[in-house]
Amino acid sequence: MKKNKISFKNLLLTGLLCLGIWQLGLGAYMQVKAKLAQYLIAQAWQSNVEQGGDKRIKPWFYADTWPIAKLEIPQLNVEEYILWDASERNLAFGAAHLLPTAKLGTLENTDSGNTSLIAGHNDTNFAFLSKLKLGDTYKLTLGSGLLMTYQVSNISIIHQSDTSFLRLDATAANRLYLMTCYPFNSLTSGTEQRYLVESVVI
Amino acid sequence: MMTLAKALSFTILCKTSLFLLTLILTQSANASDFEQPRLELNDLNGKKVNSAILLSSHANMKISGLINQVDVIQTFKNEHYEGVNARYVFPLPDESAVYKLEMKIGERTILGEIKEKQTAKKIYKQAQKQGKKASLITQKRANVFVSQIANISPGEQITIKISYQQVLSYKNNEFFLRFPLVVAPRYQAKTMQFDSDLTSGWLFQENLKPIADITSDNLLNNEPINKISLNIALDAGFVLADIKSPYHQIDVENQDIGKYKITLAAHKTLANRDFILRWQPEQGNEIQAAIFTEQFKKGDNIDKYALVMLMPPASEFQSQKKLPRELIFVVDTSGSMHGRSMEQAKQALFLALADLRPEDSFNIVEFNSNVSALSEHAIPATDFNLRHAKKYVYNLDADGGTEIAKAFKRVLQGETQTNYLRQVIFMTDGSIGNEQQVFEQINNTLGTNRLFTVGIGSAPNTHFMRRAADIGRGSFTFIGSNTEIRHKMQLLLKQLKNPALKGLRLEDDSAQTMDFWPRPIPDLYFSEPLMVAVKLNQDQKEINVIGQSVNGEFKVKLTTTKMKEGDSISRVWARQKIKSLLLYKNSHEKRDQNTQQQVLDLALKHHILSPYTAFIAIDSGPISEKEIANKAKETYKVEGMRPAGWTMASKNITLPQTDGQSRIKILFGLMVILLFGAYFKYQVHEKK
Repeated sequence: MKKNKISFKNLLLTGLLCLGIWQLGLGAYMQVKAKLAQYLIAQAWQSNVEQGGDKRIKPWFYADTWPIAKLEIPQLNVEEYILWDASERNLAFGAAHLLPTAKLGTLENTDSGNTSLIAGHNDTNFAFLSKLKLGDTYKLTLGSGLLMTYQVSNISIIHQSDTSFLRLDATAANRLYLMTCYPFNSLTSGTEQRYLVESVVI
Repeated sequence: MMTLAKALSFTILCKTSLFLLTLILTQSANASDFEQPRLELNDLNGKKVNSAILLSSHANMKISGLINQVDVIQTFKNEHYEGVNARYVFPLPDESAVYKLEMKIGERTILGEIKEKQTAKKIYKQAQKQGKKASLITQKRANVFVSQIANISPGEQITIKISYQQVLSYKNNEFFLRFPLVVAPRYQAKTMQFDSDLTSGWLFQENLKPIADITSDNLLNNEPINKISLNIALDAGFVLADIKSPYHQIDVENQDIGKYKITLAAHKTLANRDFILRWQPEQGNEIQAAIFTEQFKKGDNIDKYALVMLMPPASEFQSQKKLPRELIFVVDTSGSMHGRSMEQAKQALFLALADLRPEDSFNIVEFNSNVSALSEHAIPATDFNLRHAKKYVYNLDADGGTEIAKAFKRVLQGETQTNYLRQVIFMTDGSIGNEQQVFEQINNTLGTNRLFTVGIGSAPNTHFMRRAADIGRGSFTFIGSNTEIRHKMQLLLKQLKNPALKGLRLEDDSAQTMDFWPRPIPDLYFSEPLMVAVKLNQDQKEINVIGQSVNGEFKVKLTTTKMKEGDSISRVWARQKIKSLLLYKNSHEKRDQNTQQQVLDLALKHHILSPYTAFIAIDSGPISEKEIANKAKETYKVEGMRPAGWTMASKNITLPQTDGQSRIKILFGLMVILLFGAYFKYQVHEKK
């Protein structure tokens, strides 16, 4: 009888240990995936630039995305590649451009009030958004070699359903939004708030 | 001693782990509170401030004959501790004629007057400055209106009643009514500006830190504050086979023969879609023609007006001779079409391709920021070409901007082949800003082309597309959902295949052209009714509708019957005239005329809102000291949803979920392992 009790306890303990390792592993896997993928993406980017910059070079053979831009913030030591199509799958590997919004290249012409949005996970690729301040600048390089310098013009927190900021406003300047989920260290998944960094070309 | 210390530290370790674990769990519970936000604002003294303006909106519809008369009642309540002004932008159906404004303050009702827009604005501004209560209604676009209320005192409620009328649509043996439902507006931090002090130190000044209380509590405020209800009294005049509302639940009560009472089922209103009501006469009672007449008295002048609906028989559209056609399909592949809209467009294209005859030729043009095409020129619809085209359609990808003008330039100003019937089928959600410019471009470059517009997606800009089709002398098809594609496309393909009724006009007994609007009457396609308002000459008994069908002259004689007194048909007539005048105001023939003055005179005479008129109501009663003290300092915008297809905001963009769980998982995992380790060591220690 007593032996049985101990083994039950042991079972529970082993279960607990497994749970711990599983959770730890899952978390670590997410981090590693986001970090390691960037190396492969960097390679794809490099060969894209060498081939003229308009090729769709997949970083790994089963990928359904490719790098379309490079984002650099020297003062924060940030270098991120922006992927095509912000699908859930792609976001696990890196920050990505939300397709329904304007192409990144169109933000250069200053007359049409286009808006574009790049999304990234708040624990990996876009964790640095919390360190960006008003007036900070960052660089965005497109495959074509076009280099744009952006300055942060506004930081706000919105509800996920409020997409009105994306509307075409011909009187306003072109805007690029960097977006991630908020609060940054939220313990629940599926937060409804979004942290939004608005920036304009300078 | 050593062992004791070890044991102690293990217990502490153990307890700490447990404590941390509980902390995590409770924290997660707290975090989920974010999902039910409430709006709580603090002013500078730390006092709680409520959302200043509460708005409820109610619509009463009375449908009789071909006209729907609607009272929209908006109630503004100020729950702020200071007087405020309110400004509210709201959509109404595309061709609605706003003809009355009533402002109700407590027991008093003040009737609004129609005035020239700038004059009205001046009067309103003055009243606002003096602390008087006033309201102003202006038209922003043909389907977008603005109501403004000045000086709502604290705790006070002001109700405005806006009356408009619209002509019902009839298509496919079915009457059709559309009412844009204004859904709950969302408070955004950006627009919360009661006074300048409240906003300082608020959001934009410095980088937000998650610890700052104000951010976590107040920024997420999506509590619906606009409420809408709807009552419809339908007097069809005949027995109905069916009343349907495809997107909303309705309660229907049959009160008498042909009389129905319809309400929105309570608490089940889906906010994001326009309300649509369809009703059909019983089988075998298909409507061929209808004529309604009215006398409009203004002073000693009596004018007679008639509203004519005519459904040309199907035989008028059929002919033996088949003209070779050239079909140009133009597809919007801009970013806004991404997802479901693009799939719908592709399906519609496949259906159209399958319907081509070998003697037809075709081309497919896609446009986003740039324009590209299947081939340089139209190609014959051979098997090989069709296969090639299907592959091309399959590979279409939605991405980029909407350069609609470039697309029109390419297809309309391209080659002009005379022995071909050139039909341009334009598929888009029509989200563009420079509508008037595009209308002019179509009008000036149309030539012998015919333009058919197909509205795709849940919120296309129907106003733009219907008018583009009018000017392009084609028809407009609206595809709202996947299930409708086949049915709607089949109808369109039938329209494309059969020749249209052209050159329609109205004449009186002695073959004199009458004063009818819209003018020119758009060409009629298969299963489309003629709907025209006309001013009758004195003692006129007959109206002749004359047009050119493929089989020769088309002529229908209608006799006017009893004459009732009323002003609704005269308003339809005036509204149609204003629409036609504005639509063609920059065309070559009309450029010299003073369209603005013409429209202004018409709108003032018939008491309807136009781009150049406004309704204003002012409380002319004495103002108390208190009211002056409570004079509003700030204008509060009541944020409504924008009308369908008007902005990106209404286009179903979902922001991706980006809350990575990796850190919390690592933390949690570590904690559990730590707990295990501690317990294990503790056991070992105990055994000793």
